[in-house]
Order: sequence, then structure tokens, then C-alpha cells
Amino acid sequence: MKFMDYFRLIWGNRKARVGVIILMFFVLMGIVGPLVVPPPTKTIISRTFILHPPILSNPYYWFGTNAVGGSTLAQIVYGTPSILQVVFLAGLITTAVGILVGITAGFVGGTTDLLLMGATDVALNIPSLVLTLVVASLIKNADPLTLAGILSLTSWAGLARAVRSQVLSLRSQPHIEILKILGLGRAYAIFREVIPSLGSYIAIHYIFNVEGAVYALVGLYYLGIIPYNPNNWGSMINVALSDGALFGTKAIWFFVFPTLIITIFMSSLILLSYGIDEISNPRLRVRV
Amino acid sequence: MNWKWLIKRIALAVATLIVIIIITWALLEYSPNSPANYVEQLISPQNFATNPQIYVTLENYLNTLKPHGNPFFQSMSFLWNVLHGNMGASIIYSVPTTQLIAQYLPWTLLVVLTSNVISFLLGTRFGQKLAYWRGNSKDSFFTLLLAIMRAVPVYIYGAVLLFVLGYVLKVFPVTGGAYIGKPGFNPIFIGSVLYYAFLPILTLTLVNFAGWVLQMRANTISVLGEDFVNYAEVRGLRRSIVEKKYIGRNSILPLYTSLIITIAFSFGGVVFIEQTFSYPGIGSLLVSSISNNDYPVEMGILIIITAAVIVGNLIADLTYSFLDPRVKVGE
Repeated sequence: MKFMDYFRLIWGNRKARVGVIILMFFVLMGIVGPLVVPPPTKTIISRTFILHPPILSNPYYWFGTNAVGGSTLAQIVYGTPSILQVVFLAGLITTAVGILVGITAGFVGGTTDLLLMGATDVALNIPSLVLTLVVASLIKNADPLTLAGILSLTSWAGLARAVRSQVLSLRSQPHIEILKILGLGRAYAIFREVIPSLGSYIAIHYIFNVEGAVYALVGLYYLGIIPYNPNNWGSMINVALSDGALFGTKAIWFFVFPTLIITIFMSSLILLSYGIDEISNPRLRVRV
Repeated sequence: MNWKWLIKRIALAVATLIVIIIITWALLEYSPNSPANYVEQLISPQNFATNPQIYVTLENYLNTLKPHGNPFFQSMSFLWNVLHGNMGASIIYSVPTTQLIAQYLPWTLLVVLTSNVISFLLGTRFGQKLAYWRGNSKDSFFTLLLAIMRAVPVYIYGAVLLFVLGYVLKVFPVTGGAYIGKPGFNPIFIGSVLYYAFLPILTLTLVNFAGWVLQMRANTISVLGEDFVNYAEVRGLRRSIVEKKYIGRNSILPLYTSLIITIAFSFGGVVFIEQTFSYPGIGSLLVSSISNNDYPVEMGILIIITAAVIVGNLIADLTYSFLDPRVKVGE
């Protein structure tokens, strides 16, 4: 019941609604897509069918073909599951670590706070993408959990700091103080009072983290420095570029569609986060 | 000036630098495919026979990578080496890492700093304008457009600009950093550097621009509701003065600290840009050394970029209190 209430709130906001619809489409594409669409390995080797522009009469070739005559559309569909897995996992790890560090530092205080915030400051100072590139190239392992771990190496820090400052300001508020007097303990205060009041904040950060993970993950494949996955959108762009897509060859269509897909996916995430911000931030709220 | 805070802040910067150096050491030492062994095998005396002096310092560096040593002493001597500017040598080029980085870094700094300054100035200006239009259709159109602009990854901007301005219109060069000619402070060389740097700078500017506009818009809107703004308007001050001195200054100041964060982020983005434009900066050096397993250079770049960000952050924190009198250092 509660879930439906949240959903209704999100549905009521135009930006969030568009974001959710596109996101749902991508999730469906990741789950159902590979079951419905024939795999891109089915290729037709013929001189005329290589890097063919879109063929509108045949839905399987709507996005044209790749360098060996396979369907670009199928490649994009088959690339979706692994991207979604890594990206949502990375967002989850980043957010969980961020909340954990932030709440611990805020509630425990003292030396723990000092140490955790020191670690956070260190992480904030390291350019995360450069570290990600170096670590990913050293580990050379493309299974989703490892990749997600690499992508969230330092990105938890911003959230940790923000959560800590929120906790510090919440901790001294009367309704939390009362819990102490009632003897309900720290865990109750954290899980029943603090985290729910940070809910929308955490949701927005989660989406931003997912977005950052998409950026970095596709970028890693774009640069071609982690084990090759032909269906990842980043490696598709990489292949298109090395086929001279930007210098007037037929590979241009093979460049355009992965690019569009990435842009649409990123935009949906951004729209959803803006929508949630508008819903939860009273300053921006248009209608209740 | 609060000395205790100052010392704490500088200590933090030094600690961060030490931590990142130790992380790089651990990466070299403990990564699954053992880069340390690989480096040791490949850097041979004959490559540096012409310059024995370099080989002596190199030996120091390599000794710190010997496996099965005492990790504590090994990492400390690695730290000592790096802090003395000895980061080993490139396996591919047989040149000291620091020398190689010094050769590539200026190009990257040119792109990163110029584009950040331009995007900051343009973005905050436009963001302020947008805040005055809040609520009308022009504002919601631009906000949506900018939000989507912000979502597009930098490599896509790079590729699209390269295609449109470089290939189709042929206005700008698509590869390299300058004409092959004699470098120096002659107008031809500087002109060609700027000409070649235009597309990379434009790409990075576009990426950061949207972020600045949106942040500035949000800040300005919150300042617009303040009493002192209303009072200034009621007093009948000229609109330009209210906009510049009352609203502009107060909404731009909080952005100053995020300028450094954006610059740190740009060092990541510039890797893609340099790769797309084959620009001879530190980003393309990083990518090429990653794909050639040139570990010392990789680690050197990681250390140098982090050091640059740390120093930038320190400067930002120290100067912020001069810019914003409301913030006293240490509070």
C-alpha cells in the first residue's frame, strides 16, 4: 500500500513520470529483450550487408547492421542486461557504503568520526575516474560484482559527508532526543526516524550514483581497457570510431544508435532524480 | 587566521597525498598479474646505458617493488622515492616517468583550466539570468534542456563535435596538439596551439557549462527570496547594482568550492576528450600506458593528478575566507 503511495507521488510529477517510463522500458529491454530478440550472432556475410543503414521494413534491422552484418538493435538489447546489472549494483554499493559511513560518523562521533571523515576526505580528493581506469585495467575482470565494486571505489564519499551533516543536524532535534528518553535506543532512532527522513535524499543520490556508474562503465568500454564485451554500448562506439564513423564511412549509423541509447538512458535517470527532487523539496514543489 | 585549523588542513592534504602514494604502491605490488615483477623484468640496464645516472635512481625505485620484502619498509621507501621525484621509468619510452609526465601535462592543464574558467564564467552568468525567468516557459525549457545536456557523457560530446566541426565543416583540426614546428613563445606556435586546443576546450566547456547553470540558478533563486534583496529593491537601487552586488555575489560564492571538485572531475573527462581528439595530453598518455602495461607511467599519472587536485582543494579552502567575509577560516 505504501509503495503505491510513493508510486502515485512519482507518477504525479511530469519529469519523474517520463523518467520512470523510459527506465521501465530499459529494464524490460534487459529482462525480456534477450528472450524475444534473436541474438546478434546470426550474421549475413555479404558485402552489401556490412554496416548497412537502417532498414525500416524489417524491425530486426531498424538500427542497421554491424561490421559483420549482425543486427545493431540486437547488439544493443543484448548489451543491456550486463550494463543494468553493473550499474544498479554499483549504485547500491556506493549508496550503502555512503549511508553506513555517514550515519556511523554522525552518531558515534569522537575518534570514529574523525577517522571516517579523514577517509572520506581522502576519497573526495582522488579523481575517481582516473583511479577507476587504473584499477580496472589492473584487475582485468569483467564480472558484474567486481566491476560494480571498482566503480564505487571512491564515489561513496560525497554521500557519506552529506548524510553525516544531516545526521548531526537531526540528532539534536527534539523528536530524536525524546527517543533517547523513552529508552528506544540508537538503532530505533537510526532506522525508524533518521533514515526515513533522509529517504528522498538517498533516492536522489542513488540515481546520481547510478548515472555516474553508467558514465564510467560505458567510458571504460569506450576506451577499450577492460576485457572486451562486443555488446556493451561503449565498445560499440569504440568499434564504430575505429571503423572511422566520424570520417565519413558507413559506420556512422553504428555510432549513432548506441550514442542515442546512452543519451536516452542517462536522460531518464536525470529526469527521475529531478522529479523526485521536485516532489520532496518543498521549495520546488508545484502541486502536492 | 586560525592556526590550528590551518595546520589541520595542511596535514590532511599531506596525509591524502601519502595515502594515494601507498595505494599506488599496493596496486603495483598486489595486483593479480603482479605489475611489480613485470616492471622489474622489462626495465633493463642496456636501455639506460647512455645515462647511468638515471639507472642508479631507477634501481632505487625498483628495489622498492621487490616482492616478498617487508611491506612496511618497502612502501615507505617507495613513498620516499616518489616524494623525491623518482617515479621509475616508462617501459615503452625508456624515459623517466616524471620527464614524460612533464612533457604531456601542460597540454592537459591548458585544456582543463581554460575550459573550467570559461564554463564557470558563462554558466554562472546564464544561470543567474535563468533564475530571473523562473516559472515561465523559457525557464522550464532551458532547465530541461540543460538537465539533458548534463546527462550526456563527455565522450559523446567529443565525438559529435569532432564529426560536425572537424569532419563535416572542416573548421578545426581533428588530431594532434599543434603544427609540428619549433615550440616557443612565437605567435605562430601559440596560435596553432590555441587552434588545435579549441575543440577539446569546447567539449569540456559544454560538459561543465550545464552543471554551472543549474547550480547557479538554484542558488540565485534561494537568494532572491532573502530580505536584503527585497530591501535593496525597495530602497530603489538600480537594478544592475542589485543584480550584481546583492544577488550575484551572494549566489556565486558557494559555487567557488565546487569549482575545484569540477576541476577534479574534469581530469577524468579529459581522458576521453584527449583520446577522441588524439590530443597529446596526460589523458591520452594514461590510456596508451594502460593498454601497453606501462605501469610506472600509469601510477605516476595517478599520483600527479591526485596531487594537483589536492593542491587545488587546499588553495580553494584557504582563499575562500578572503572571498566570503561571512566565512571565517576554521568555522
